[in-house]
Amino acid sequence: MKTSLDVLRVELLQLARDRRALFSAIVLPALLYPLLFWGTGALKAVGEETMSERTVRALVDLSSIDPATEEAFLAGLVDQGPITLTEVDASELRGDDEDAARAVAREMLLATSGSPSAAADADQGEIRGEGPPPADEEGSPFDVLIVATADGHSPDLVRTSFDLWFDVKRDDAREAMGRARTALRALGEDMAAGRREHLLGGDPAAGLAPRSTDVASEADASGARLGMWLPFVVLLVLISGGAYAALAVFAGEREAGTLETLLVQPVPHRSIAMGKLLTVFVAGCATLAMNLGSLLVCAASGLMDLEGMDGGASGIAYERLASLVVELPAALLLCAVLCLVCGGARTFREGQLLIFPVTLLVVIPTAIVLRPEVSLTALWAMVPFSGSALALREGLEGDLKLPLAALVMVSHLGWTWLAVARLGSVLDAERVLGGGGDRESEAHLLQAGGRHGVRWGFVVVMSVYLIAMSVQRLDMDAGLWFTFWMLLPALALAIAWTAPRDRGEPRRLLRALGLRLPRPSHALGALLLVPALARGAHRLLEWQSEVLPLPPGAAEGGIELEAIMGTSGPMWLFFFFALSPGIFEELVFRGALLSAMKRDFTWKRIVFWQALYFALVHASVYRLLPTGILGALLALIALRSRSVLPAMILHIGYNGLLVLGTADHLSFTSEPWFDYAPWAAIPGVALFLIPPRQSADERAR
Amino acid sequence: MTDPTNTSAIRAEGLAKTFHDPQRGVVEAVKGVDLDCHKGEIFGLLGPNGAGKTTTLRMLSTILAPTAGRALIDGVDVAEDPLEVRRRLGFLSGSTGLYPRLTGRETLRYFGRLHGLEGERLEAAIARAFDAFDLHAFGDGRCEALSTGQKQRVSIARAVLHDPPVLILDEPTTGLDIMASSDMIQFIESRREAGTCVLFSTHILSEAERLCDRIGIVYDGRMLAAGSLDELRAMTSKEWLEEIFRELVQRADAGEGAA
Repeated sequence: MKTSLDVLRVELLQLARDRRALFSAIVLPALLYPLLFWGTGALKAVGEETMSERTVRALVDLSSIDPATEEAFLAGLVDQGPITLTEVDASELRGDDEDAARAVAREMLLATSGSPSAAADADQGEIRGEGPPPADEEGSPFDVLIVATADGHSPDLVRTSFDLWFDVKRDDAREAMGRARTALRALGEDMAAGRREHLLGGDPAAGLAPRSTDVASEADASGARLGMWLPFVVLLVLISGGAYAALAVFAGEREAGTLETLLVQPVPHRSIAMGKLLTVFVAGCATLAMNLGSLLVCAASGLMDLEGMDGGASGIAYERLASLVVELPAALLLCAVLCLVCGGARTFREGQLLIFPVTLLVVIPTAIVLRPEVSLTALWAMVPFSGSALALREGLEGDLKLPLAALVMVSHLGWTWLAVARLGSVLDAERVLGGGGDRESEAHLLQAGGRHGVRWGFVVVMSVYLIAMSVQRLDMDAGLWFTFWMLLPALALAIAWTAPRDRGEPRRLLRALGLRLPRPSHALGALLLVPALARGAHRLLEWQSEVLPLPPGAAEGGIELEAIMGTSGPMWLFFFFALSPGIFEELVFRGALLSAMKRDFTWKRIVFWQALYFALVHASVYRLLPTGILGALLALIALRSRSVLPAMILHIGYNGLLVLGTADHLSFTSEPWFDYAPWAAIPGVALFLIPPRQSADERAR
Repeated sequence: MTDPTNTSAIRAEGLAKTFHDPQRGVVEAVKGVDLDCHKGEIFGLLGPNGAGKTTTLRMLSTILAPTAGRALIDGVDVAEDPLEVRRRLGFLSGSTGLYPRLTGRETLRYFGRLHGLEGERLEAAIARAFDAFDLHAFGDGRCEALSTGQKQRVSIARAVLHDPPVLILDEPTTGLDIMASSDMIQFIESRREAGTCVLFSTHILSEAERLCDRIGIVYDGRMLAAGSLDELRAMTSKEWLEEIFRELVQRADAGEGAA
């Protein structure tokens, strides 16, 4: 412990003298939030004040509506701020040709060709007969053209439509448009209420009048709102503060050449690593304290209006922030993960690349706090980051039970202990420093293939998040075509094409994609595993739905998928949700990425990365566990069979059974054979366990 | 663990190290090196880049674990008790860096504490180091502001603060200017008088000729020959160290080629 404290002291001294660290951890949060909130508040106020004082110019044609409506509308418009009204004859705009009407309206707004028969006094709302006002600084005399059209003759049944023409590029035009819409909204509400009252004696549609009253105290309500986002802020700020420290004390030291000196000192490497972990923890907590402190000051002083942090008597009960204590073991765990990740990086830059997977690893389990119906149980308490997030939320709500809080802390300390046990290996000199002093002899440390796989895995996840999902949001049908038949194949080819090779080794694209013929027994084994896997996933989802209920509507996913596809055929469902992902997800993950990783990584490490990336790429907290397990299993099969094809067979079959089994008219999950299907897994596993026959080359060796 | 009858400060027998390099397959960086250095002796490992010098020194200083063979530092086995070996060792390499935002004094205090020095003993050791390496003028300034030579003096002071009986220096003059290099050579010579065993690697022939009591020629992971300059001359019938080195390397290449 003494060694760890010595290391802690020196590393903190280093960080405290590092202007960048000091600025980002202390100065920035101390100044940023007050300046940000004060600045945005002041800007908004100034902007609103300035715009509301400006005189806008409106062309109006209200000739077809009754005088009472006209008067009420003009009064509402004038109430919004200074305005000059000029009457105009806009009958040309009432035709059916929209393009022609648009051109006429533009001409009227820009060239003031309207008949200036009258102009309104800005303060009185009376239309007066003067010439057009002088053009403003933007060269346009009018900001909005308002044309009213009445339809019907009975005073109680007439429907009046208002067409508003404006140029969105101009500030005054947007302001005039906003004022007109506000006035119209108020007028519309008044007219509707008046007519309901006059004709019906009230609203006949109002069969019931719901009235909800929140009996929770102000503190409880604030705590509930705060609990939705504070767990995220805590972990993200910890990452931002801790990551820099972790990179500095591991990758930074390696780059500076001080690590080698440290490793030759007569102290256990694990003690050194512990000292560095404590440094990261202290740096992360200091950053967190500064950020939270600054936020609280802003909230208390009224600089900001953040949900749940109103401050004072009407806001969060500050003593409930003491429940942040339950986050401390989770913070320590997060710092240990950061140390493990950054300790593996050879350079500062490489470490920065690895921060994103950590962020996802933390944020996704934390997202559970967004589900108000999920409460902290003993099971949740043991899930890393989910348990602590739920505990913090319940603490802020004032509902946290002490035994569960203790369980959260103990379980997270247990996870931390597991991570710390791996920390010593982070400073394994052979890995960190290499064998020789020159780069050539350190080549074995590059772990070029493995790192290639990890880096590209990150790119794949990000590409799916940023590109594929954006296209799918625009058009689901086209998005799925694009994702499976363009993006994923392109990524697989890019990964395989750029995969590192031995010196002089020719580029073997098929091998880099894992495309080699498997043993028939492995292909058959994969096929036999399909029903068992589907059955297992079915059971897992049933269990998960008790622990983490699906949001309303998600259970009917199969039908929704059919609707999304715009088809009713199961063939299309199978094609898009089984065949396409089965081929191309496998080509990327178990093909290109796994082939690169297996050059350097042990099978355990490969399975870990495969499970992690495969779970993350599906971007759903509900599918995290099943997809993670599936990714690990498929990776094991690909490693054992040395080919991606058995994994493809299993993936296609598994997706096919699940997708088709979800659709109501195709459901077979209640069929008796589905219960017995897992027995087929026994010969399937046995086929994979049969030792491979040695090739002639292997026998010769 | 310590053998009192053994007078060798550094002894290695069949020391070997194999790496798995994804780029090059299995790499035998060191292929069975034997070494015997005594107290008060300066032993130079001479060889080209990639010969295995750094790997050998890293195995002797417990940074890397040998794949095969055995090594004793001051009688302590590097594999059995690496912490005890590190206590008896001062290690410095050409690529050694200093914590940029610590002062020289803070650096010495930190590493002194890691070596178990505390309180007055620690302060006395730092004071001695300040006197011995003339650190007074810059020892309380941050290392990032020091010149290369000043940094090297702080590094040396750090390596010998605990007065180790064995000093291992990996290409200690690499990257140094003439003055700093000269200071380093003087320092190495001074350790001979102090009875310290100094093992250092270099590829600068003049440095080895001037400093070393004995020289080991390392090439392709093997110790081709070891002995005093006169012994090496007798072995190769060559006068200058450069010629001796070339002769031994040619013999090794020819031997491998014949095999």
